[in-house]
Amino acid sequence: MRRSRSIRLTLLAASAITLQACGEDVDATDVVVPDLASCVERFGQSAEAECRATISEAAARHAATAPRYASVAACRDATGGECETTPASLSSDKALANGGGSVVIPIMAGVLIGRMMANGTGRMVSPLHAGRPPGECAPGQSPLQANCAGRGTTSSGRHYYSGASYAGSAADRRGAAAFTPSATMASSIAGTGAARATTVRRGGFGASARGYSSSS
Amino acid sequence: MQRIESPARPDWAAKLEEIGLTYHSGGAEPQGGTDGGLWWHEAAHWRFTEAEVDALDDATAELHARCLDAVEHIVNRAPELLAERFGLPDWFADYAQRSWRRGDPSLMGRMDLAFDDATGAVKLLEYNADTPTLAIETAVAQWVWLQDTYPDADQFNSLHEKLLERLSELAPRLLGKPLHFAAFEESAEEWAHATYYRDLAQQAGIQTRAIDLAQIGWDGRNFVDEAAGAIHFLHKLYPWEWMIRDHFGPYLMQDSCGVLEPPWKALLSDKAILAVLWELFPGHPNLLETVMGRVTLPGGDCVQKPCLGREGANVAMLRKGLTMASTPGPYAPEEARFVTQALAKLPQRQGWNALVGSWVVGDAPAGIILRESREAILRDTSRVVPHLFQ
Repeated sequence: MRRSRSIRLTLLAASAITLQACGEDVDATDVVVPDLASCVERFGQSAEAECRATISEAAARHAATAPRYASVAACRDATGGECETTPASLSSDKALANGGGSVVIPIMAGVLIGRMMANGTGRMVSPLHAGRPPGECAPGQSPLQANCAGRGTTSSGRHYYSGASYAGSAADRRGAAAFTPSATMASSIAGTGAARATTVRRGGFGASARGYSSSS
Repeated sequence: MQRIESPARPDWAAKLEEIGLTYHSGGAEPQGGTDGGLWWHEAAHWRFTEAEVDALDDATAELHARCLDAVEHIVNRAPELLAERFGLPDWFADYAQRSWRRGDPSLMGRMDLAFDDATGAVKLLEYNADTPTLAIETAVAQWVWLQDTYPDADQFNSLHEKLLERLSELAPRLLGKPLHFAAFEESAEEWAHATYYRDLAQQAGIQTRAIDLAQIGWDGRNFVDEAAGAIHFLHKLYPWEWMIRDHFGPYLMQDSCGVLEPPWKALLSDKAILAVLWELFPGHPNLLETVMGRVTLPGGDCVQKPCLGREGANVAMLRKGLTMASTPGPYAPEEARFVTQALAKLPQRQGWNALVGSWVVGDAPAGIILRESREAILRDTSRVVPHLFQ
């Protein structure tokens, strides 16, 4: 017999599906985790304490950096997401609170946990709140001033903002989901530990292929 | 050697998609007797005798051995050819020599053979020793086709098994580090091949990573993947002659990364090797007379092709000194090097010319795949057809 006896395909046979699964390398992808349970599900039971600390630190940062509004209605209107009241803790809150003790912010919808950096500087962590898809008005923008599309769609819960800037999107609303960062967020993620990081340049291969086929 | 028109399996397209061959037809259906835009065409197949298969097997082993002799000759006895004949920049000439001398292992290659079954002559047309594709078609698609249609027949095709064995041999040399597989993600055929090779590597116990070629990074010391992890071993479905020209090319000579196919394979995939082979082994029964340049050989029956052409592009075929057929393509800029090769006879049945693609894994023959065309010059649009032998 001159032919192979058996053929087993583990990747190729369902490449569309399996290629996705290759991205499941927890160290190589950016994810958004909505809560502790999904963080543990993603990073493993051994990461529970770290997940807890990460989320609580993110919540504190969220309270300080989320955009502020005078009322729940104004907040929902601007962000398209769920909102909550929080103590007027920043000096700039006083004017907005108009003498009261609290302001309104969008709720923290999840925490971005960036990919592991190869230089050992760890991961970038950022609190996120939900908002409208980019192109529609970002929180705090009005259609007239910012030349963005007015509201109309309610937030799908898959588009995320960090502070007032668009951070990116995730394919799924529930559980830990792969996060596709915006250009700005991507550079923040890559810039984690920038002081020690070396600059990686890309795109140095492939230029000679324009208009050709590499196969032969 | 016979060409048989036989019905395609009713669910042939689904069968191919199941094994990852999604680029099979561009939506066309195989029909008996027609030329067509199909890539994979199973409404015809070619049949060999066992003696014919033996002849192809022997010729492949012999040709590969002579090719290694030619590389040895160039590297150690005639290194001036690296610049003069192959047009290589100094840094790559040095890198390729080093790669050969320290014995960088190779994985595979595919020779294009002209098999004149009337005389039994097997001639080397060229050696795709660097970035061969058609592996899925050979190893998997035609194997499954045989199981489904002629389960009692045999096929000259142990490509899958041999690749798995070869990768298992190479696995310990990776020292537990991952092997990155780079290809263009946007090319279905190329990405599927990179995925297939990666699949085999994983089965051989090698850790693998897929990476789009353009996403390879350089951090000043190492090539890095998208997660900034160092690339210590790279399988590339991208030819050496382009890597050489690319911005990152010269970083390769720092040897922070082992590459498959190794740099010395660049010599075999350049058609200038055919002229070197003829000089070293003139009159060899498996070689065609080949000289550098675009000339007319005595008698006038010859083929002019660019040294770094691909997929049958920019080829001119002459009979009695007159151009009978030629193909367009992007591989013949003014500075392009050419070879002229004596015209070989391809087997023809019912107006279809067949070209034999013969695989080498490590140093061993590993099976064949056929392409057929009504045209005299086979191209990337020529159909891929299965074979069997009895």
